[in-house]
Amino acid sequence: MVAYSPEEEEIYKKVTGKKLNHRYIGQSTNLTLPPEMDYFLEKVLGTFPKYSPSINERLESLEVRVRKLEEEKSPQKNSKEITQADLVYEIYREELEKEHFGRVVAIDTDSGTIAGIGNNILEAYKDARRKSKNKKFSFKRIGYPFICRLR
Amino acid sequence: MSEDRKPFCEEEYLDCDRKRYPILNVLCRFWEKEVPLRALADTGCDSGIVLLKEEVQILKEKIVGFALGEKINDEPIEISVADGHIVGADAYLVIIELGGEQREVDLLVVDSDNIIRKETEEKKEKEDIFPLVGRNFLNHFDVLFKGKEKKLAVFK
Repeated sequence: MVAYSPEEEEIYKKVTGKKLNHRYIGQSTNLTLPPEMDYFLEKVLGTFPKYSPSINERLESLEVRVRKLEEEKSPQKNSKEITQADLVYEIYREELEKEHFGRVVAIDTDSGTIAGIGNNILEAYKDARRKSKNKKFSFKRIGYPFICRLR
Repeated sequence: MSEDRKPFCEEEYLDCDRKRYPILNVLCRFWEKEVPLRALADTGCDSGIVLLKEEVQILKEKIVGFALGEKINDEPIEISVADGHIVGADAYLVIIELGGEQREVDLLVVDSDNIIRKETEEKKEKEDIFPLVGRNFLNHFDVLFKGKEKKLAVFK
């Protein structure tokens, strides 16, 4: 017989605010779980009662799950800091994507303008050097989240 | 491509781990220093040469007075790498020499430690729709990939 421990019932009550109706579940070979407990154990604790994990194992798996969620939500990995070039690009995005989709822009962040456009970084840079006194620019590929892909 | 055009440079595919790669041996000029480098002639990236930051470090250790060319970007350039991360790179202007022909190209130095963000699943799906852009050496020369002969031919 597999039964939920009082600790499990307590955690379930704390997290969901509901009391667990089922005191025990049938034999481990023929397990039938109430849906709310099944969901709770799998999604929140990341465990399944038929394996009868200890409290320590459950805590460990909970810690692993928390780490995974933190990694997923981490701003450093899934989103980046908005740069000056991003802001300038946003201003001209609609026009650029309509007329120059797939080409590369050189953005002059000092003046907040699109300094040059070309089919690649070099062309965009040369175009920008003709129009701007600056020697350094920010480059973006229009309509793409990156300039190029390395395999 | 016309049959009577003669290539100014021909290279055999490089054998590596039972696979063949279209590699060109180029001479890269960083200020006064000339450094022979291997470069993949392929689509997928529009830069002429791509180096890792660690490779640049090795060059600096091996060649006295080595310095990269003129840096042309102020913010890191976003590069997508195979594991799904977007990493930062810097672009430099360098002169390359291939079969006696000289061209000015941009050299990308990829800093794999500078992870800007991770691509989301949604973005990956979007990329599948768009073709890869960028032409690498194809931007500077006409490159013929002779599969049967396992050779690369480069035309002006």
